[in-house]
Amino acid sequence: MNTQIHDLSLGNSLAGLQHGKTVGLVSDPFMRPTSMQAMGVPHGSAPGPKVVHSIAGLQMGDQVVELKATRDVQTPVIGDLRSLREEERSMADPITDYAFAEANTLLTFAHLVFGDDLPRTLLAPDGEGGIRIEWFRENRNVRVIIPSRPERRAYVYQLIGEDPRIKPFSQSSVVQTLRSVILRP
Amino acid sequence: MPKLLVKQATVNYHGFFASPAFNLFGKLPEIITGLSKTFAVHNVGLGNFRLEGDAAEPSTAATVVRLGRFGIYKFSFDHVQASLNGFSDGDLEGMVSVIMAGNRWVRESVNDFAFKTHAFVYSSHSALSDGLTSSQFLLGLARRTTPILGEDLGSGIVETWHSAPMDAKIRLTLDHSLQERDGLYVSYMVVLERDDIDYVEIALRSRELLEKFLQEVGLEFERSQR
Repeated sequence: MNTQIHDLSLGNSLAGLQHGKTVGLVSDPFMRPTSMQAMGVPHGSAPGPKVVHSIAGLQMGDQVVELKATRDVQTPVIGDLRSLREEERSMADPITDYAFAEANTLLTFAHLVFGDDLPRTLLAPDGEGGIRIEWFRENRNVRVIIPSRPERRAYVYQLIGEDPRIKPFSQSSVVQTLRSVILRP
Repeated sequence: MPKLLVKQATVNYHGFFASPAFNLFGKLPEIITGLSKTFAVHNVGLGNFRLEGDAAEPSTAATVVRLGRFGIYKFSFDHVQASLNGFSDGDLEGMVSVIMAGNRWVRESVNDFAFKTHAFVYSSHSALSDGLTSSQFLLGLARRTTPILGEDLGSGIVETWHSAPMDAKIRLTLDHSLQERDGLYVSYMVVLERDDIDYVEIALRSRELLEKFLQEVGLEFERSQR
């Protein structure tokens, strides 16, 4: 089986962007369909797949299993978020699992995008089980309200001087707002 | 207005150097160390790296860093490339930050460095909403006077222009998709021939320009918030 990927040749004169040929995928003649049975290769037989398809394959002496260790690094702001959730546990309206998960996802994403350039992040409960996330710079403010439940809408609020605006929430809108309001010189 | 239901999409960024990074030839450890530190926030380890090319052809040699949902960043001795497939708006923002960080490292690491050209290339294959086919849509566009010597299935558009606000050359293709049955193929290229650009601003303006063009021809992307 030969699968052709559509040639996205641009046909222009910009060097480096012209693709002279299509890319094809050719099936590996030694590939076997995966199944729940052991896929180990008997000693002395034809070369077979190097991946392990089942737990039983781990016992095959000539299989190599690669383990990739990953570091789970908690950023300080995620640590602050977890501390906030713990502090609010005994309150009448503790931070909900939904609000925590949404805030965690947003802050992790913002950290990936901005790294050390992410401004100091202020976290506070909204009093109804949700979370308020804020950034300040001089007379500029960006605030994200994460509601306690998915039925309620999250939103992004920005204030530059005395000019307020509200936008629908999304990871990209938060990043764009931070770039244009807080990080812009 | 018919909506584009995107089935496959790719964004590529290419930054071509004014002259090759001669001082980094043979310095693979320095390149990997530099890119590791640059993308440390993504928990990059050796497993994120892939080396490409033929040692006998320096122009093919490349160091590729895989950055999860933000795609890949590829350093070659004469250009850099970032690529992203099947993405959300958030992933695009991340890709811009990857380009900014990677290119900052290149500027700091290469002697007498300057970019010659930047190019952003978006391509997608989409179905059309409401059961519309690409032929039905393209046949509804204003026609050129070139003769059709058979059954007219609708012809695509290729437009090239200069955008003064971005000071960029734009090339946009809208045609039948060969991947998506009865779908549309969009190819959109923004080329900037100068050293320094505002990546965030260009990404935003490019997106707005594409959406404006599509609206002018009677199309819009299906919106999905994330």
